[in-house]
Amino acid sequence: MLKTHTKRILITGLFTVFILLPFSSLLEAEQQSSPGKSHGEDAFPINWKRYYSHDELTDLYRRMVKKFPDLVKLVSTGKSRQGRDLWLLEITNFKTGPAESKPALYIDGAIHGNEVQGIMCALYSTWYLLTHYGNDRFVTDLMDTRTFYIKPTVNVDAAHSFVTEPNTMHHPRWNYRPVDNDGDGKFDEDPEEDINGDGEISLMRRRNPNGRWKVGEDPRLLVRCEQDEPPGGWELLGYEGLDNDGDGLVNEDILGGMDLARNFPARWSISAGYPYPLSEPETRSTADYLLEHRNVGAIVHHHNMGQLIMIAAGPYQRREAERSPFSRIGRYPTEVDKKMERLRSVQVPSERRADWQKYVTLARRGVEITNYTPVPGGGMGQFSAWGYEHFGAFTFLVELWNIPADFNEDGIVDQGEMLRWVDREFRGEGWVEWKPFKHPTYGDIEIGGTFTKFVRRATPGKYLEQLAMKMNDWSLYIAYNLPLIKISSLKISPLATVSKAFTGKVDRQEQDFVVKTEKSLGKGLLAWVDIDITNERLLPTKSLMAHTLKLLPKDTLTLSGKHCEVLGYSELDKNLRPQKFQKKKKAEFDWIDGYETKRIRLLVRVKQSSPLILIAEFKSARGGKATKQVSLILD
Amino acid sequence: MKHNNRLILLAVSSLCLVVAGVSLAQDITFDKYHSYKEITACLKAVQAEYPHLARLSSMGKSHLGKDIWVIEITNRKIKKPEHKPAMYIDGGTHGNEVTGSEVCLHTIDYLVRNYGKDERITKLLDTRTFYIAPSVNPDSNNLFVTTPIRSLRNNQRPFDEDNDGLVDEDPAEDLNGDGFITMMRKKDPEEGTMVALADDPRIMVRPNKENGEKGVYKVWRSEGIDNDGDEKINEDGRGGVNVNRNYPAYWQPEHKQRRGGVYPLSESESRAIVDFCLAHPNIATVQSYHTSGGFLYQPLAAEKVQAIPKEDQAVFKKISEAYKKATGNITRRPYRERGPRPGPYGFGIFIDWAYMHFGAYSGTTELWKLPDKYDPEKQKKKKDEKAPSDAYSKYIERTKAWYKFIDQELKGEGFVPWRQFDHPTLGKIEIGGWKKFIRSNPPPKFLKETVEKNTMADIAQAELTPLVVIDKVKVSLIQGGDGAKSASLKKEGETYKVSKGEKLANRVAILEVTATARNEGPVQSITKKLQTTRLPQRPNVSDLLILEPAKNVTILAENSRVRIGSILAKNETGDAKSASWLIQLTGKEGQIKIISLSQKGGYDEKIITLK
Repeated sequence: MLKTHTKRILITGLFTVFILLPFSSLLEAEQQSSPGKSHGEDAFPINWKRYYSHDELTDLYRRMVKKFPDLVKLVSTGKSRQGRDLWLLEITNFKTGPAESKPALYIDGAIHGNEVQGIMCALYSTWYLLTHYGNDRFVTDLMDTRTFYIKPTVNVDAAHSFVTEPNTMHHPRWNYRPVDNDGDGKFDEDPEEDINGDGEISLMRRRNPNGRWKVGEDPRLLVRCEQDEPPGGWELLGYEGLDNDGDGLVNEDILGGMDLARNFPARWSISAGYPYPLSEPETRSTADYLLEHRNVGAIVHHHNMGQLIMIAAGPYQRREAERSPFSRIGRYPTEVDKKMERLRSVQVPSERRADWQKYVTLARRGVEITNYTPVPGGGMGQFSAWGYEHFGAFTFLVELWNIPADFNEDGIVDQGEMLRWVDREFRGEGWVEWKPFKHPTYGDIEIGGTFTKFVRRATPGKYLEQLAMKMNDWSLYIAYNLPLIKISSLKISPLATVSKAFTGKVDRQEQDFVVKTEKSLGKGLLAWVDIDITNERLLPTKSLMAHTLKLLPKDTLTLSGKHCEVLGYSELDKNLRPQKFQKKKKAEFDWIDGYETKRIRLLVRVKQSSPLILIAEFKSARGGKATKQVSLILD
Repeated sequence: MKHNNRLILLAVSSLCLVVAGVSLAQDITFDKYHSYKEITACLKAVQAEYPHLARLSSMGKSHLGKDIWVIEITNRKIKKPEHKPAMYIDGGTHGNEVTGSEVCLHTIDYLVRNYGKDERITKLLDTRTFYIAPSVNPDSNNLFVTTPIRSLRNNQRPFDEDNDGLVDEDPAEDLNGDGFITMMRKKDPEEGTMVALADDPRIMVRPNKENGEKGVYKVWRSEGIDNDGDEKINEDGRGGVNVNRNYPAYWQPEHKQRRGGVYPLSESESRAIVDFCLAHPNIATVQSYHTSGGFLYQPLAAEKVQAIPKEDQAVFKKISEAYKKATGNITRRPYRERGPRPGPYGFGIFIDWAYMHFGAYSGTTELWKLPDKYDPEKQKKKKDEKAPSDAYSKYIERTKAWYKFIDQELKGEGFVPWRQFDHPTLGKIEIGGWKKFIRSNPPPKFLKETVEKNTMADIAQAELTPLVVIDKVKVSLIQGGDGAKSASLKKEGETYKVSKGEKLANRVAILEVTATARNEGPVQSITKKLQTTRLPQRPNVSDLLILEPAKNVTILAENSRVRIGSILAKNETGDAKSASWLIQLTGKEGQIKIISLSQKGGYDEKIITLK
């Protein structure tokens, strides 16, 4: 048996240090508290009404690093098929700890080369965070406690081509992996091209008395004849190009052909992403980077178009709600309520339901800000499916932008409405007129008849800033809700002081158990140390999916000090009753949920040698770090 | 069949060797296992000695930076290697299953030495290519052969097996310094789970619970200490990812398939193999050697066999018959249709990928098993005795049989006797148990027999590949004419007026060319599975017949490159497919080139002169 001698214990000088304390230099910076004043934007002016080529973007990133060396690092995660750097920006206040030690949000854009507004959204967030730091309390706190990993362009070759070269609005969408689109054993031998040199790849049409196309109400438009209508006099020959390989076919084997958004392992199939998942440098570098930076807890993945917030929460079932949709909210439903109602019929299996509820909460703010429609998503081989199902981060795929030209409010923007809008807004810049051309294969044809690529798939430059600004507001809201762990309390309650602590073992002698001393340890104190750990934000330190995936080690709480040894611990339930005692040197948790407090009681032996400092440290791969320390004087 | 089993790796130019002052001479025999260094030297020597047959290259680097060698063997004087149907063979995917490496070495040796001597091999290397990679997990293979370490199934990427944030922090070790890592046992009637057999206390077995027997020994499967102080012993050893769960077919993340890697082909070893295969689409059949069990595994591992179209199942059956003929062993499918744990055997397995995604007939031979002479069931069948019916007696009998085998064949050399040891945390224990190279890899003495049989199975499997050749080319005249001049048209009202232009040639001819491609091989040219797999942004795989105009010829009708689909096996209806073109010959003499291009059936061309 242990002999107990109670001695007086003096606990003095209890003081605390939060490692996540806001960086002190911000106190010197000029904080603005008025929405009517500048928040530092002038420090790094960018024209938000245009798109940028890869070279221009590279230059911008380098200038940002030069201007804000303590806040941003530029990393090349690899090289694209054509040898361009796959840039990624690591953004945080590096003075409050390395980027990997903080919960992180990952943002990317343009996995499809023709969806270039995603680049601008990612760039906008980068710029906003950097310029606002020290000028805006909210951004400053975020940058002190969170990390942002921003990869503006995933499909960098195609996006560069889309911005700088003549293209259709659909291509280049894929990366430049050579693909034999026509199965003739040759690769990429017959691409589309701008044959009349007007800077756009548009349509080709030819007069043909038996053609099934006719001139529309607006004479610039070519319209397909109805099934029972007589021929309209025109035949449509597809996108502009030549028969480069002389096989009699035009544009039958275009450049590239790996859809990077079908190249991730989650729900992948060979029919979607031949030949194998992550076969491309663009996608593989993304997955490799994230797997090396497992502090990423949420992902915003930009696509276009359709104005959707796609929630990648794994496989689900639809079940129609039985009750009237708005019976519960007790007020007249708003537009946001109506949009959120679409998610009510989604049934996520119980083992992931808590994740789904967090998704819905985050998505609701997104709907409020952007007025987009929330839908469940994450399909075959998509990055968003991978982000959640194989990486365990809360992943949103955002389909940006829609053409705001539904004048008759029938839910569809038809060609006539498009043309009206384009004429009104772009005054001659939005439409390619039909022009005659002598084609080597087709003879006398006309080329034109399309919207220019920056008014159709790509958001026109003048709308870019408002699009990016809204997305940024929501991205920052998600980042704000990443876990923020604090050790909210640390208390010591002594059990006994001993003049001679010892280790030993228990021997069995028939019916008796006898304690035998093996090693003597000297004077000391046996005590309970109660520690409260609180997550002060919505998202847990680990999603349920991440827990299932076993990608991350357990969250741990350690108590260290020069003369202190942890013998084991119990978790306290809500009535503060100790649960099963764990004979471990550190406390382990599967995760700390949003706004949850965990109460831990550690059994500790302290060697008598005062004064000494005890440091409690909480460590989580996705939840960041928190420490607290006390000093202890034994009488 | 009698041939001496030596790779004579000297032969090159002896002068050269003298000058270099280094001797390549290595009499490699198949009575020992070879280290990575020895395998590398052997492959280099083969290339040096048989430059017209063998070419060595590296598929990529292993996790620790070793080259993953692949040797190409074919007669390069007849067609390019990539223009012939090929067989891919590898060994050592699982680091501890090194017998496969020896089979590969033996097959290489057999092929190069018999070319020009044995008619079958000569014909095979004239028409087919072999790609043989003896050690595809070289880090672990080499450690297994050269060190006492045993748990080397995976590759050498550090891995956190106990999910404590640390990697490889608690491996097994040779505590008593006897040169072997064996087992540890301690008498503990309370917590023990194993018993020693009464008539042979060396042997540790499970207690017979039905008889109420209780365990008396606590057994640790590997020798070692608790290196990281977490009160568990050897819970996080060396490596790694199970490379054979890392392929894209049916791949699943960690919670559904343990050790499959963070994503498909995350490992340099598996990725090197897949990239090599994709760069060599002529690989039509695949053998990936594992141990042990003494049978052939054929796809699928993750799905029922019904997922394989019956046309392809027929081919698999041919391969399995050839295997049986060569080795006497049976064929199994890894997917468990019934049994205690029915369902998929595993996900992300190489042979599933090779068949489902790559379109090659694949198989994994599990080499080595207890020789029939010692196999209790085989013996009883022979004597017409009844084998014991209950599972426990069978288990005891089988365990004893292995001991009988080592006692008689190896004179007890296969077992380290239990010896007392003072363990730092467990106290007084005994250390002892099996040595390596008994159960999962044959003792060196039995290696020769194993490799010889399986080399013959490889050769038979390589013969079961398609072989597409241009069978015949028919040219028929549609219309001819002398004194040809160019013509132009002029429209006058509704009348067209033809006027002659400059002289073109003395003669023009409009000809129809019909070419037929025939499959000389015993299997169809494209697997049914691949034919019916939809691929993104491209049409399905097809064989091609191509007419390339060379001189004075223009094609008037049909594409130059015609997709003809798949060609069935020799002597089946549909073992030939044709294409025809309308061409114009301008002048006295012209030339065309007919090419048949089959991804798996090879390349063939004929140049035809037209006069």
